[in-house]
Amino acid sequence: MGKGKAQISNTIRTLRFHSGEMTQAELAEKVGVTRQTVVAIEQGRYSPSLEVAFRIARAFDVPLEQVFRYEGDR
Amino acid sequence: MSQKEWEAVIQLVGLVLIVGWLMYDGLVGGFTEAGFAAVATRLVWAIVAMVVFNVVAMVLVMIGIGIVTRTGPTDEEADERDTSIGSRAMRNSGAVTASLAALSLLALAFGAPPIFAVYALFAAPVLGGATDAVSRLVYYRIG
Repeated sequence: MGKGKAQISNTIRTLRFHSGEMTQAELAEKVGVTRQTVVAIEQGRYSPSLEVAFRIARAFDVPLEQVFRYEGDR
Repeated sequence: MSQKEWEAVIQLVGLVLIVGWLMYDGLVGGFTEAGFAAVATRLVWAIVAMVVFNVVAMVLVMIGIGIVTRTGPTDEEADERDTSIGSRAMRNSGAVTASLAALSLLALAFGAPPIFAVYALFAAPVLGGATDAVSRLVYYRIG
């Protein structure tokens, strides 16, 4: 979160596309955050809290691991 | 740019304008002959001017955003990212304010003129505020 390169990738852009081109504003409304936060998460500039991550997954009706993936070293 | 970034920009512009005016006033001789009370009064007015500028500018920006987005002037709600960025910016601001206060005490301890304390009382929180605004702008860009 703001320290070094983000190590969490996400598929939000793809999921939005498959959800009838859901806009960032619509996703933000569903999740309960601002559009700027959705933009930051989608671009990998901000790692959301677990709760917001789960809410994003629920907005697309998919499991959490289908939205976010940890790319860090083992 | 979001409403919260505009708030930071307005805060910075206000600081630059007021500090610029104070420096100009000081350079043309406004402070050289003034006593403690006169200097403190001028700095209090500078703070009042900064607050008024911030309020008026923020209302105008909210109206402007409302016209552009055709939603009317609304207050943008804060989410977890805003809270996180606000906390980190406040931490930086607190560090700068505390450091400047400590440095000012040190300067006074080493014989700086007492009038210096009045300026330090004004400068430490003002620079802390500037740090807060710059930090928020940076954090909104990087995450």
